[in-house]
Amino acid sequence: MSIIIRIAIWEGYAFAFGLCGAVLLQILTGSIGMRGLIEGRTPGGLKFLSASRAQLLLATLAAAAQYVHLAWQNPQQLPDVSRQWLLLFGGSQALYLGSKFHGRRSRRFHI
Amino acid sequence: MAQYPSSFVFLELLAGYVICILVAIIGLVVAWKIATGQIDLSTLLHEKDGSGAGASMGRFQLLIFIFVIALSFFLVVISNIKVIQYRPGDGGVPTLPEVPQGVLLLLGISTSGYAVGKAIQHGSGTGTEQPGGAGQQPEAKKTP
Repeated sequence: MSIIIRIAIWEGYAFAFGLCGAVLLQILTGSIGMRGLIEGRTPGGLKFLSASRAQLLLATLAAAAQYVHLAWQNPQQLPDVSRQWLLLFGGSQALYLGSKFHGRRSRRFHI
Repeated sequence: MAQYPSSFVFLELLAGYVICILVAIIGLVVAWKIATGQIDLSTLLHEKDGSGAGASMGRFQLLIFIFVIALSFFLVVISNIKVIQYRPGDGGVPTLPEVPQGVLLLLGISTSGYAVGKAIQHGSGTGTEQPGGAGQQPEAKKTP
């Protein structure tokens, strides 16, 4: 029985990490386009660096890194996300969406 | 511990091997199709509003969190199996780990952020850059 469990574990590793690896590889090689991730546009088509997109990117990466760190430290159970991190990420999302809505409504920019 | 007949044990092993082979075939097919471009991931992060905009921040953050939570869940499952393998007398049958409320909230925020972003992008009454677009507000009727 232990052989079959070992096969299943390796299969799971290959599938989960293979899928993530394929997406990551395509992002790194440029096959999955990341251009314009932190850019916005004016109605005239001019591009600009969007602060709300940039802060959401930073909050996302920080929250993800913190969660991976916690999961790595204690792999016996899924770690909980603290209220502070939820507030930080929720606030960041709200800021981004509010800015997106404002730009769309006032027709001044599009992010 | 209950003793099962050898036919049951054989059936259990057979079912396990069949499931392993099936999952391996599905995984290989998916990997092959991604490698050959039949599953096209190039627009995975693109805005789909036809405006020629670049990558979508909503899609990117959702992708990151799905990968992080899924991989963590997988690692916890593997870790629990290994613990039970090394200490067979302690636990019994391995169960799926509980998902804490904070994780569900985080995924909820991430998913609803993506959905609300879509709604803002395509919602009527919010205005579009193109005149005559679907989201343009109708002009008020002139009274004589």
